[in-house]
Amino acid sequence: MNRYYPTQLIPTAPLVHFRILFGLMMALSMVRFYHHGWIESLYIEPVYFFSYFESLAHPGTTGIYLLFLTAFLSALGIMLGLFYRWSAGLFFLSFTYIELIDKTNYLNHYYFVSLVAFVLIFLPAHRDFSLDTLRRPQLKRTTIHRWTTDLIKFQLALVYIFAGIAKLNPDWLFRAMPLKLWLPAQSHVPIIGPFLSYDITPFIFSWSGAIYDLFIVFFLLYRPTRWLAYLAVVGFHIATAMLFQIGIFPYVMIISTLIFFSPAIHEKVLNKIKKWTGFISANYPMTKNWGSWQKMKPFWMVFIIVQLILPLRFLAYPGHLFWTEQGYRFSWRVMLMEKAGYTTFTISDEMGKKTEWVNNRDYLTAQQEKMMSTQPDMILQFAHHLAETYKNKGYQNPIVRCQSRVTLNGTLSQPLVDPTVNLAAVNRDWKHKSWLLPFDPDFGRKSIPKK
Amino acid sequence: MGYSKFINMKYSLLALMVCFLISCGEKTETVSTDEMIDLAELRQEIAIHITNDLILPAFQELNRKAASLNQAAVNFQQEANQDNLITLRAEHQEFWNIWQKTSLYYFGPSVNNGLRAGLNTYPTDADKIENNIATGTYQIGSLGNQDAEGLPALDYLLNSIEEISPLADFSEARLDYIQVLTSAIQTKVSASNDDWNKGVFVQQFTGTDATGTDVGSALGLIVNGIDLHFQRFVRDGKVAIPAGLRSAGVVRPQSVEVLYGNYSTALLRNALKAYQDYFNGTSLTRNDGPSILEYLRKIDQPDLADQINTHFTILLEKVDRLDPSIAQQIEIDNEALIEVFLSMQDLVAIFKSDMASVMGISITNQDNDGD
Repeated sequence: MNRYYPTQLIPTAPLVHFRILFGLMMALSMVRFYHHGWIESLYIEPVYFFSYFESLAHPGTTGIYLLFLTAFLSALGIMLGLFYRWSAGLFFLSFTYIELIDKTNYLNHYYFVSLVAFVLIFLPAHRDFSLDTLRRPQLKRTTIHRWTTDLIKFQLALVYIFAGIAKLNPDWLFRAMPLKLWLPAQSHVPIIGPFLSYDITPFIFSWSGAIYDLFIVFFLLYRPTRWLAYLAVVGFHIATAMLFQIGIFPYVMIISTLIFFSPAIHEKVLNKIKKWTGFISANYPMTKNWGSWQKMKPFWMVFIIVQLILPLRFLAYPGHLFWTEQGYRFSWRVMLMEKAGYTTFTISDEMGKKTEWVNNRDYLTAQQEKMMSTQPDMILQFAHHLAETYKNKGYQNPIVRCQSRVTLNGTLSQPLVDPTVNLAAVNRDWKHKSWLLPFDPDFGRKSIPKK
Repeated sequence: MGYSKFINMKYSLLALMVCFLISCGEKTETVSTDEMIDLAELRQEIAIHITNDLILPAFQELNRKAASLNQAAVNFQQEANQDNLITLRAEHQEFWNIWQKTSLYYFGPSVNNGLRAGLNTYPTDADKIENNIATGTYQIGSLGNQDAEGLPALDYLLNSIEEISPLADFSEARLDYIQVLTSAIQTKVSASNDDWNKGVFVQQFTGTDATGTDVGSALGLIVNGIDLHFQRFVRDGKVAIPAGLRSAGVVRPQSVEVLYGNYSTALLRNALKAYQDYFNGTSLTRNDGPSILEYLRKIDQPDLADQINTHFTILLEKVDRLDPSIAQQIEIDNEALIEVFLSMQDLVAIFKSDMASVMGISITNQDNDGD
């Protein structure tokens, strides 16, 4: 028995199952996206995009459809294990490109998909029960190294635990916010609806949600509690699917966490499936030296460390994180706050004349306006875009000012942006945004009683 | 008073106090169990109340007024005298005011029939109207003819004439055109009224769609439709555009709602009052029912509820200080209009972010993860 843990051998089955289910989910999600008309409404209709990198341009209408088609087909390729590494690579690139086009559409679970897709490129998930092993039988392996499945478990653990840590904040724990606002609004939902109007319910949901997130991975890892933990996973995610508009995320998590089951169980199941489908592929003798662990170890270490640090980068900035959102994205802050805003801009020429109040909807879709209204980096980005636009309209050195009223977790709306600052003159960089006004958490809400 | 009577009094007083305390306790208990209301049910009741006691009666009244407007036009056409002109002008102005009570419900049948565009597209195109009258070749109800029809067109036809000899300009062709316009208005309003009062929309709207908070739910449609209408047609159309706020500070008095008559401020006021009534659930029938205001109180947001009414009060006060004609006000002091605009922005912020946020009303149907 190999003493070195990462290269211990386990059956290939858990990785195979993950590959198939993940590929299937991704293919379905592309279809769902298309079916809702979101390709058009999110990537073709808008006239402006909040891009992450100016250099990563919008590929045009044909380009967008090509990207989605590529993502769809490569997801199928992952599922079937056909030209697997190419499929995984293409899926990662096309999916991530799509997400980098507009900050408006950022979702934590898209970030999760990108990470998993990236990791999958390097994992031997096609080494069994795949079209690749049919056309090239020498690819087949009956065993894989343990680190491969552990890496996926790590990705899942990251999501849950950081999401749990994020919930350890006063609003969540002591005000039951934002569930206190969201749950009563869902009181028409069948079965659990009537319970959602009680005052105590949001507190129960908040606390149990935090405990679930923080500890579920450990219960999944510990064999005696595994089945019960998985039941909790299914229950938790189905409940969130019923209560919130969060798309396929619950189902992605439900199928992904199957990887925590023992490789032996996975092997049994896969053998049954193979029998049932009549899938036969020859066993080849295992050659040595196919373990890429030693070569890739430094890379994975860096990969892991970066992902552990990224959600903590908010500590480098002053101010209330939920308000300033400096370091909010890419940190697994899922369903954590209720924030809404009304943000408008006035443009004047450098003499302060020709003042015009901008109609946001002339430049942005409803969804873009909604997202921009509460996220300072998007506000600044849009302000710069307006400055450019008005320069072209003949305004010399236009002055762009912002009037922004934002409500956070049930406060009465307060100004987010200093309305006297000319945003056109503010640089977009990683520094603290000093043009934001401070947040008063007790404005229009009862204060949390201090012990 | 004897000692024993005094003791009796003390005991009866004590007994009275105890009874009072018990009944208070009972009252508090009743209040707290009342607090555990089914919010889904309340949402439905609000949808029903707004529909039955605000929307439907408003459309019925609009329908009656459309008929009497048309009748006045017919009378004027048959006999073009001073009295009939005065009556017709009065009917026109009254109808325009009543329209403000109905136009804010900008969803469902109101949107589907193109009612607003057919009734109230402004600024109207005077040249096009004259051309229509002269040539007789036009298509009523077509997209290209919207700025030569409806209430603003009637405003031009009835109110832009010389006061010295008001009847001199009314040729037969002109009278015919007026009657064609009022007839078109009546047809459109009647169709919408039927859709609202007799069609299938209301059933689903107050039934299965009424308990939720997503985009397609009753409250979702109401809150989002009303917010859109407020921004585009009340704030921008009546105030921001004429005041030059969307045109680099260059005022546009020609873009006011009522260009030839002198009562544009009254229309603005009635529109705002309609919003306040909608929010407070002030019904047009005698029936009482729950309102958005009550909903906010029930979900523990009394400050927000009060703030909304305060903003309405402030806004209406500012509007009351304006000249009866907004075009005139622009000449006198545009700043007052900008003040009104800023007050309206306060209301938009409250409706769009505060209110929708605490009520959990969705603005779009996109997937989201809470941000």
